[in-house]
Amino acid sequence: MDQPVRYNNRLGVKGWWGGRYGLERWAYFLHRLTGLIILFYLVLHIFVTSTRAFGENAWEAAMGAVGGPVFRFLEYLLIAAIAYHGFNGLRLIFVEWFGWSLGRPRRPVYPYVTSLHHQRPLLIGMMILAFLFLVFSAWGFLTP
Amino acid sequence: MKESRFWFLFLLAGLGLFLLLGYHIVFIHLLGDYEVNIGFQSVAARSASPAYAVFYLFFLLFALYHGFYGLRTILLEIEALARHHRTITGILVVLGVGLFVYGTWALFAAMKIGAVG
Repeated sequence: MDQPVRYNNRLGVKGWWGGRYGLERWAYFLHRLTGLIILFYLVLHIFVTSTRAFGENAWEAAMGAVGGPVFRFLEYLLIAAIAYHGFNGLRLIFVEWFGWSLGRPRRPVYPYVTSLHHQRPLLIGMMILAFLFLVFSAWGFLTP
Repeated sequence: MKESRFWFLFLLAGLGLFLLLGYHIVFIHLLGDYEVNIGFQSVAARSASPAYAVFYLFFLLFALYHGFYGLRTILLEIEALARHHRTITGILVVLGVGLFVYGTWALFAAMKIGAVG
């Protein structure tokens, strides 16, 4: 008897891309990428904002180092990452915690029906909210 | 504690972050004059407020827990690292707790400066 084909399900970071993935897989990939970017920024942000504990001169020096239009634009990109991660994360909480948009459980009888048809409108709705938040943020971030 | 409880706390922290970070971005970065908001006088005034101290304490707690738990999930999906899950978890706990202690110290030190200023 033939041995069953084994697939490596623990590809780790290598499994994030490369494949004929659908929209949800790209949402997963972007969620992790933005999460890592935000965590990196959080650590920097803790050190930069803690300079206020050392007095006004230390604070002004830190703000001077991370000021200017280039940093302002980078901050806007960070807001884009946060908006995506936040609204997509809210969708994941709705799905994983409350079971929203999963559809009714059914027997796996051909022709198979995927729950993605139920889930995709929630994904698209959240991306519209993230986009609207970004447009609103652009007014605050990019206008002089 | 079971892994599922830690995961549930990760979701709770994410929900908390959505609210606290949303408030932080809108009121510090978007509304009002940003240069005034991040000026030392405004920062010192906010730092002196106990309500803001509680706000930022929870913000720090939620952000570090959610961030480092998420990083742990990503790292443990790599087979070579999954074998060392205790070590990975230990390192991330030490980093997360260290940053929380440092952030909390800065919060209370700034509170004193703000109260004096």
